[in-house]
Amino acid sequence: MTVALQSLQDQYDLLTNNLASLLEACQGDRDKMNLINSQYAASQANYTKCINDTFNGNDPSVQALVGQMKQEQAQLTVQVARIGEIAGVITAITTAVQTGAALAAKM
Amino acid sequence: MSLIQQREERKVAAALDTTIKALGDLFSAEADVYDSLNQTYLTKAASLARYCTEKHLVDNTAVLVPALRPFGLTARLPSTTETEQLKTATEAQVDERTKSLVAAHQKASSAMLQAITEMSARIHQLATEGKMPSRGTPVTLTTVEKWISSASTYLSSS
Repeated sequence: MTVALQSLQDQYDLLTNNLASLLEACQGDRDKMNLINSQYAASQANYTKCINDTFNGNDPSVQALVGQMKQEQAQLTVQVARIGEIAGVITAITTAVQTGAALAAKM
Repeated sequence: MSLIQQREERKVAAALDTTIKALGDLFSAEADVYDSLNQTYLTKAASLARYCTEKHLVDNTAVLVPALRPFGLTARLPSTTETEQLKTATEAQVDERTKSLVAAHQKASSAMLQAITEMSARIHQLATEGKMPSRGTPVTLTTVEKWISSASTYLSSS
């Protein structure tokens, strides 16, 4: 599997595995829940775009974005563990998904 | 096989040679994507299964079936509180089964590619040398057939 597809899949899988907990942590705040749902949908769209395109994982700009995504994935995993601080978690998710969108756009 | 049949077979092999090679190349290029799609499907299903378990929407006594079925027995627990003790086992079953299904798909993908590659080599030999000594179904196809049989029990056809 190419590193780009693996990175986008890892992000999508992490959010899938934690979606229910993330939504519960919003404690009924509709704005926060909508934000999480929209970021989850964006992550899914990034992954699907990558699936639909045949791409070259050796492209240097793709490699740079993959490196950035790996760092953000680590940060995201730490943030999700601190699910009580939901505002920080949402910021980390938004940053990581935006990088995912940039990566998918390179495909 | 008659001489006419052999000649016709070689003609067909020559026509198929490029196509089957291209099929192998295509499958090889896309196999990782098939594996990825299968994995994300299972991740989503496992996430829902864990959520349902957490919300007591799953009959946790199902994990006792392997121990009780040989003796014709069925589980009966007095209350939801009691089944709580089985929740860990249920979640572990979801995790283990997910890993096993992901691995089975990857094994089937590799086996499928091996089968296509083998058929491609046989057809190429027939097209270029006029002979195909090995005739039966590629053995690796058995792995693929087993996966199809297993997957059809949990993948919806709709």
